[in-house]
Amino acid sequence: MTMTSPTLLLAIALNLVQGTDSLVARAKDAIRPLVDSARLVQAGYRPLAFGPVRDLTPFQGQHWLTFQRIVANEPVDLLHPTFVMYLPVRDSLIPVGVAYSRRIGGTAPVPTDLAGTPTEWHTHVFCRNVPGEGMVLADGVEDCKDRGGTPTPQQIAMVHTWIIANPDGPNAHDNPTLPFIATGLKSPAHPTRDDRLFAVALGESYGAKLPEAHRIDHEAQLAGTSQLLAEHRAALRALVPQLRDAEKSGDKARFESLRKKTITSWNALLSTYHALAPTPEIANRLDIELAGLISDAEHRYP
Amino acid sequence: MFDTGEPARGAEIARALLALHVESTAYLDGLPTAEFFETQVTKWSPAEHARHLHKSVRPLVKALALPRILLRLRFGAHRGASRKFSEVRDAYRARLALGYGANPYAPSPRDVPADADAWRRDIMRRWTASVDELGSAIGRWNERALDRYRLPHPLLGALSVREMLLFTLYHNAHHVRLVAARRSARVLDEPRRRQAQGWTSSKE
Repeated sequence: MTMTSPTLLLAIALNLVQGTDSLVARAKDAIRPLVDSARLVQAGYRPLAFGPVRDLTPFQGQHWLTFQRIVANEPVDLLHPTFVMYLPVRDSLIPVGVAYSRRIGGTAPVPTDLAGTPTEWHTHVFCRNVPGEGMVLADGVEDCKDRGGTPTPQQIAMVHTWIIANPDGPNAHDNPTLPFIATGLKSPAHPTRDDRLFAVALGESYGAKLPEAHRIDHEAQLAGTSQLLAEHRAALRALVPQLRDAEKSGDKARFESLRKKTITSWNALLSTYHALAPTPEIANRLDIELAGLISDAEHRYP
Repeated sequence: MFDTGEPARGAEIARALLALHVESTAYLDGLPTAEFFETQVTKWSPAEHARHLHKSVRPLVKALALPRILLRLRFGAHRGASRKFSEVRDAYRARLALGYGANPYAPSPRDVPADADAWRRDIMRRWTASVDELGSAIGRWNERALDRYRLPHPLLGALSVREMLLFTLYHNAHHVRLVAARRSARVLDEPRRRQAQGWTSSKE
């Protein structure tokens, strides 16, 4: 029996859906026992941090990692991810996804599948001597070189699997719904650029920042200027309950007005980040990170 | 290879330690198990270097977890700014050049057990755990505290905590570089060594 093209395409699509469904199910199984920080530590995970600079970003939450498994570089085991991702809300950790990784050489091909299902991986590499930035964790060898740095010989290739709904796809780089979940707001089904910017702004209300914003914040704390940032964040935090109330009451006009106010407040915060950035390169990097996060084209994987 | 850069801040040191460790373990993972346990030119084997590094990092991890008042009472306060990475490195190199006695952090002699691969994994696991814990411990120290407390070093005397971390970074790189340099020398010298032992094949 011959298969016509539409039938073949449908079969491929069905296989892909079954594949990703299975990946999500396995990711849920993997993260299910890791219900709190004590269990995570017991299982060998620790929160990702470089010194006192902790990880918590708007579209990826907080990574917990097992450095042992990353270094051991064993083949991907769906039930033992190298990273697990959470949304810290008040005193709870809401599990949102996992990530699998492989340590690969700088010129080695990046994996293209996860347990046989085609998936888009991304890479990170420690990058030394970046002008104005020092040593950074770059988004792969090319990013490191573009920034004028020297990549270390080993890259970490990673792929995410989200266990909560993600409009960008179950294996996408980012999940723009996280700030909506964290703040108790409804997430748009198909987030636009403005929705993403709004989500980034909401992130600041619970401590989720762009990686470079974390760095600037840390430097500001050392310089005694972090109060300037804290004031803008307090304004954003004050807007969140108002947004919730407007959404709950169905007052679209008020919600829209508060949403604009949120983005305006965030723009003021962004200006302060720029002003406090220790170098122009760090300020520029913040803009690149933001553009990547809110772009309609970036990181949209099936 | 095994470049450390010249970090200064706690976050930079932590990042450099982890980056170096990823590079170091990737390199050591590439050695055959027999070579991992083989003495290099009458010196330590790669396994012994890894055990030495674990043994050296471990006390630092423990010290950083102690109540700071205990460190102050036991070792006193550090006055002034910490030295830079290059200054700590140069002081260590100068001290090495003068010679030194028994190394309290040298790996104890051990025969390779029957399951060499399992022991190798265990050595690497322990070393990785100590570096990982050190990276986490740095996060609990603010920049000011890194300069205000001090710890004793067997060769360099009292170091600020920051200096001790910078030393540890350099020391880790130093030992892995030694492994790589001795391995390169051995590889270059291999044909002559084989010839001397009558191993030369007709092709060589």
